[in-house]
Amino acid sequence: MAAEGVPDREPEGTFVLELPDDPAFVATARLFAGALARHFGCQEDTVQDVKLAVSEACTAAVADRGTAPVRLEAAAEGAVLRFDVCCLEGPPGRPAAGDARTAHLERPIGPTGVQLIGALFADAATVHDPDGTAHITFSVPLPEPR
Amino acid sequence: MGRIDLSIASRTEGGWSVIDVGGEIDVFTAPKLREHLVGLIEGGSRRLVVDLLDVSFMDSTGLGVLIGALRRLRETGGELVLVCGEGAVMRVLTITGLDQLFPVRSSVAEAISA
Repeated sequence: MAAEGVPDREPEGTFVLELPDDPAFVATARLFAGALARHFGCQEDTVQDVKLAVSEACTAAVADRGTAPVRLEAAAEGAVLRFDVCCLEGPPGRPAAGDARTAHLERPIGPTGVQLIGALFADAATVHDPDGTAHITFSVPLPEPR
Repeated sequence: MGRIDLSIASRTEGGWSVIDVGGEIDVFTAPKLREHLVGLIEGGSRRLVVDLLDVSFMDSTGLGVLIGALRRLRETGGELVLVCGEGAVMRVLTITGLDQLFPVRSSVAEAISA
């Protein structure tokens, strides 16, 4: 059942938040993600799950970003709100993900955080771009428009 | 916006060290909790009750701190009991299965009388 204030039309839009590579701002990412989930009509339990998943993903992101900003993108696409947290940008010429030389770079996306996100959202995944950039992604089912 | 803090206060009750925690526990605030718990344990406290009733959010970094404290205490025959309600903290404990690892009570009185 949808929460009060469920939009009366198909949700759409992309929302981006870039934050300093600073653990103090992980809470800001949670607030942003929670507010979006509420805006799109998610129930409070789902809002709390979104905040937890984003906190885990952003914690992974700040763990090894150097001075690069942490980028959180949320895209409302029909029936889902899709989240993407850019966790690690590969250096120029970085070998493809899975290479033993880059194994240490996987550490920030620690198993506990990702497993927790996976327990919350079934499609949670860690995705690697060809340049080595890693993303944690998951999507949240949205209530039917009224 | 978004900067959070964590309140931590300790007292002794019925032979237990009771730690009242309030706020949000994440990668930013967890070190403060870790420092407090380690300080108590290194100071000789062996029976800890961590009251999380006023904690509105906790992620795996908070779990890591609690697991670390539990491990330290068990190495020396100590105990750690968590107090929390049905909110966000309990949900994280349940999802991760850690509600089976930690003794969880619904009040400090229940924790120290168990």
